[in-house]
Amino acid sequence: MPGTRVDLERAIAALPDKARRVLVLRDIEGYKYEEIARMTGVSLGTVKAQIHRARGLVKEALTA
Amino acid sequence: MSEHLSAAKLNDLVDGLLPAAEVAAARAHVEGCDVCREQYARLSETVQQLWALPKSADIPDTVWPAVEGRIGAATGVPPGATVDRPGSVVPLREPGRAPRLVTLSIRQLAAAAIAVSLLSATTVWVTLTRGGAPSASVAVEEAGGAHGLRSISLEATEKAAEYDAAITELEEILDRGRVLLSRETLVTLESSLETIDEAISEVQAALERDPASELLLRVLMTHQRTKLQVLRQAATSLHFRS
Repeated sequence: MPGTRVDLERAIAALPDKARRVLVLRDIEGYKYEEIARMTGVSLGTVKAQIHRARGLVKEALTA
Repeated sequence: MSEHLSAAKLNDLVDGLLPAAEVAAARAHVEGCDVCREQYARLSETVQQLWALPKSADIPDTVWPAVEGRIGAATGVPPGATVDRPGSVVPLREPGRAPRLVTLSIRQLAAAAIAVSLLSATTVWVTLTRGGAPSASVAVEEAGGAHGLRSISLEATEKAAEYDAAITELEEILDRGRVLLSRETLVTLESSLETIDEAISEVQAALERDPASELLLRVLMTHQRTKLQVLRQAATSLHFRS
């Protein structure tokens, strides 16, 4: 499996601040997209796009 | 070959958020398209790894019973006692002086209990918003004296600016690192701070009516120190998690 836990945490740490923030809220802390949108004051569509991009960055970092 | 699935659609498929009518078609495409199958597999694997990361520490269920016991020890009011009856008095009478009655609400007791609980090395944050009538009160006799009042008032004034600056700084740290805290921790933290802030507001309102009250000044300073400690513990926790 590509990516140890350390690699994963490094990939997360390397993300831009906003991307890391929403990714952590969604995929580590388990908040729903709607909840994250409310917490951050950003539209639901934008939150999803940010998280999808963040996941893509982590994915690329793990397989680089 | 049909068009590839968008990143949004792949993510929705992984999250289980794709509309039911589209799931079958998306899965069929993934199975039949080498590019999308690989993208879906890598994305799914990455997300599974993220979901497997541990959340922040949870507050154990045993905290409240321990704190409830301390409420009784700290305030002289038995845990679970109804305190809206007259005559629930904890005497603090100084010989020769007529006692002055000051009421402490449930919020005050809750904030005091938070302060007590912070003495425990194993307890991080505790929420004590367990309901109860906000207007319920315990009558506490106070012993005051001119000398004591002046020194307390001076201490409160000197510490006010320092307190405000420290609170502001800690709240900014917490706000920046909020994302590193679990939902449960955030809820507990917010509830504790809300309880303390409400208690502070109550005391400040009472001080406006009775500015000479040494007891109220002491209570106010205790609550302010409690708030500082709660924020400081949160900020310290963020330091170790960042």
